[in-house]
Amino acid sequence: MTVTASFKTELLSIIPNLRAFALSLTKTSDRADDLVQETLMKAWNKHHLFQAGTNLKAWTFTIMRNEFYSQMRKRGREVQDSEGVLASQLATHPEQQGHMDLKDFRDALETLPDDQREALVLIGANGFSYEEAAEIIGVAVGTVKSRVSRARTRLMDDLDVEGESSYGPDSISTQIVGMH
Amino acid sequence: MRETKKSSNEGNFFYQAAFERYVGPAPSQNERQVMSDINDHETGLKSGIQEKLGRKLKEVYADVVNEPVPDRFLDLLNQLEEAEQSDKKSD
Repeated sequence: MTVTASFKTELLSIIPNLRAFALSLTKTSDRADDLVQETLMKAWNKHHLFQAGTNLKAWTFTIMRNEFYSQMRKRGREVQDSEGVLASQLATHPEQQGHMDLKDFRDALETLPDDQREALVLIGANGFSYEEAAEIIGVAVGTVKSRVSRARTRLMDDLDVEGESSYGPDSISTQIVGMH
Repeated sequence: MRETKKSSNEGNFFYQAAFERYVGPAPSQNERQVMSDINDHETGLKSGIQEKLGRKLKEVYADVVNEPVPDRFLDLLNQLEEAEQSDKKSD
């Protein structure tokens, strides 16, 4: 079986997503791109296993995740020592600052347990469904849901996030006061 | 979600009276509406926050997602494709 041009084109189109996911796993950009490279090679060599018409993005994310964790097992715990690097690896644009500080958000994201951050990144940043994320991680759908929910709660606590001011407590308390 | 209470006053009067002695009077229509608004408010608040977190999350990875694909990956895919084509020729 030959690798069709469409497989290559499709693979190319998801490289930006692969790089972002790799960064969320490895936390350093040089390591992330090495992981992307490994993933692309593995995906290419296994393309005969890919069922055309199914989700190539989810398929390659699964390959990347497996590759990352098998590398991590080989290297031992070394990978864990990169705490706090994500924030410094990602450039900050001044125009992105303001309302909720992006740096604070990155720091909070960084302190999430790996399994919670992973679930949140798959759902929140990549737009996967809970079912797809469960497939990628290899756990039950309910597990993904609870990880995402715990991640959100923790981020909200860490960042002291409140809803948009249009949803603020004023409109409600006014209603309660004016009830009788 | 609006609380619908079908067993209103004309239903089981004695049960209703006992119930009210126990937990206090049933909420009036107006009170129920306010409770419902509060629930709607909380749901709205929750989805508002989720949306906000989602936006931030995308922002964190926006730089790398919006960067053009680095040459090393373009080269890699071209090489893999070439290798496959020359494999085919040698068959």
